[in-house]
Amino acid sequence: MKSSKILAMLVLLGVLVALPWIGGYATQRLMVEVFTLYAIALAWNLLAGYGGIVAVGQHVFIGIGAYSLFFLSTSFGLNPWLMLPAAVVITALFALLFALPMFRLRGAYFAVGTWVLAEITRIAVLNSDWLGAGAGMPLSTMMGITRWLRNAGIYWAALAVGVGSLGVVWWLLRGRLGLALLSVRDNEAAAAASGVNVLRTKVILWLVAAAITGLAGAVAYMNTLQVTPSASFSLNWTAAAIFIAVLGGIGTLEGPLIGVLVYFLLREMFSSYGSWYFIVLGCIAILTMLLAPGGAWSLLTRRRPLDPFGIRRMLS
Amino acid sequence: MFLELGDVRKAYGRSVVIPGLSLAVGEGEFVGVIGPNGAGKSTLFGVISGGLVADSGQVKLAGADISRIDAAGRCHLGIARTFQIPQPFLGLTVYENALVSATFGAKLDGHEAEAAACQALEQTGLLPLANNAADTLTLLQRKRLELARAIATKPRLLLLDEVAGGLTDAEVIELLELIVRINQSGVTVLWIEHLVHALVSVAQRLVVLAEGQIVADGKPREVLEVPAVRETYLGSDLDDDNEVPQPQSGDSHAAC
Ligand SMILES: Nc1ncnc2c1ncn2[C@@H]1O[C@H](COP(=O)(O)OP(=O)(O)OP(=O)(O)O)[C@@H](O)[C@H]1O
Ligand SMILES: [Mg+2]
Repeated sequence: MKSSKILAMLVLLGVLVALPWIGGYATQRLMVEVFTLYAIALAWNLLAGYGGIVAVGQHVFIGIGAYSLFFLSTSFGLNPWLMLPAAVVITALFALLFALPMFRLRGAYFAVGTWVLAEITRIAVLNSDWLGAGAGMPLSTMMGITRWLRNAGIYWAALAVGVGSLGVVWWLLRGRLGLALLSVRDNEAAAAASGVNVLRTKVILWLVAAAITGLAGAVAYMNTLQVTPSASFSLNWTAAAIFIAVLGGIGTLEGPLIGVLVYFLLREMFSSYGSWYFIVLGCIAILTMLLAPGGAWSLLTRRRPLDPFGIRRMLS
Repeated sequence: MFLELGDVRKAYGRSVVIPGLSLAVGEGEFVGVIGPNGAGKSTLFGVISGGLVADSGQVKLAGADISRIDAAGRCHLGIARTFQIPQPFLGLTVYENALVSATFGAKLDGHEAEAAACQALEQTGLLPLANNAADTLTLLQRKRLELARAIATKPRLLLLDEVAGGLTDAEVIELLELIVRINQSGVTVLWIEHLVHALVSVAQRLVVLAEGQIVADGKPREVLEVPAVRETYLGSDLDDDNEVPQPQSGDSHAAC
């Protein structure tokens, strides 16, 4: 990498880390949303774009991640930040538990299956008194922490989730798993004939996506201090992730970055229009799929190929 | 026996393509497989490579029953196949296509995988196109990529499904030389090809399939004398005694 590129990235990172001293609470809270939703969209895009796995019920991992953190922290009086790794592990275990039944389903059945899983889990939580049933759970362990520190701490966690998930996915795609994924995405039969263990590749991808989503969900609900089944297990999360991935470019590492920026730009500008806003979002997504199926990133790279993350393997 | 099929049966739904087929191939053999369209040749390769699961019967490799092993597992055991209709990874480059085989089929890492992929591209003449996207390849180039990918898995058993179709004579000769070299390095080869002549010039053994059954099996010259086989290939170039394919007179240019 060129040193100017590294310098630019360090400056950007420095500004992002320093945001709590620069911007107000509102900015920080918005950025928490941006980073967590980015990570969720990145995970959805990883599943769909690299694994050919369309997970309509990806929001189940948001609920599981958020509830893991809230339950552990509130029940045992533990520092919520320290519970973030636990949220990752629990979400990944949950994903592992359901991987085998889910991956017996093919194509559209899988997509619907993940959604059914999310619904069943939501209803199970809704009927669990130990998780606060329909009213959900507060994050009472946040009480003793000053407002500044709470906001800054959640913001930094979200920043770490956003940057960290990009780093993890980048690292995975550059390695063996990335090559296996791309081959499976393009042609499962040929991948298997070339020695790629298709099922194992997909399950690993599923676990990684679940872990990222669970972590992002946990941080997103730290931001709101209250988790409920209807909000955390909501299809809206997945819908937003799909919108971001489709708009930016499915199957690219750059896509969700662009997509998330456009998504929040549109939201900040038009969300006051209520349901019209959602109709416009839907229309934009459909138009993108029709006119530029590769998303915004494909438009940018049409004339000259760009590979800013250097994940392609070139023979020199 | 290196490869043994014991009473293998395969049907697609109700249509029985292979009613019950047994075949034994020794290690290092070079077997040509011919037969009319729809005879079940590609289906046979599917059953051997694990892409298709036989309804009944056994597939054995080096004495071990591999009937229940999936396609990836059989690739790891050394079975590589090309697809009659090329199945490249369209979103990857030519080099990356071969790298998948070297990495997961041959289980190589880093420089070794790169070298194996390069060698396979070199052998198939695709090296100049290494960094091109696979979806820019022509059909013939895609067929070569099939071959490169199969070679890059470092197979012990190579299943070739019509890799020579559409080649010029010079290219066919080059291809024959390559396959013979691979065979001489110890790789067992089964090769389906409609260019009977090309096949006969290199194969030690010829198997003729019709309606999912072996109708003739033996030395190529003798097999081609079998009346049933002559009947099937009546009007084709069997009577021609040349070793290598000859340019057909009154070529396709006449049509233009
Ligand atoms: N996936 C499939 N589903 C249903 N029928 C199939 C399928 N694949 C092949 N068949 C049928 O099975 C029969 C054998 O096909 P196969 O491809 O094995 O023949 P082949 O000997 O390779 O023929 P060709 O010389 O044309 O390649 C054909 O009648 C074909 O239509
Ligand atoms: Mg065939």
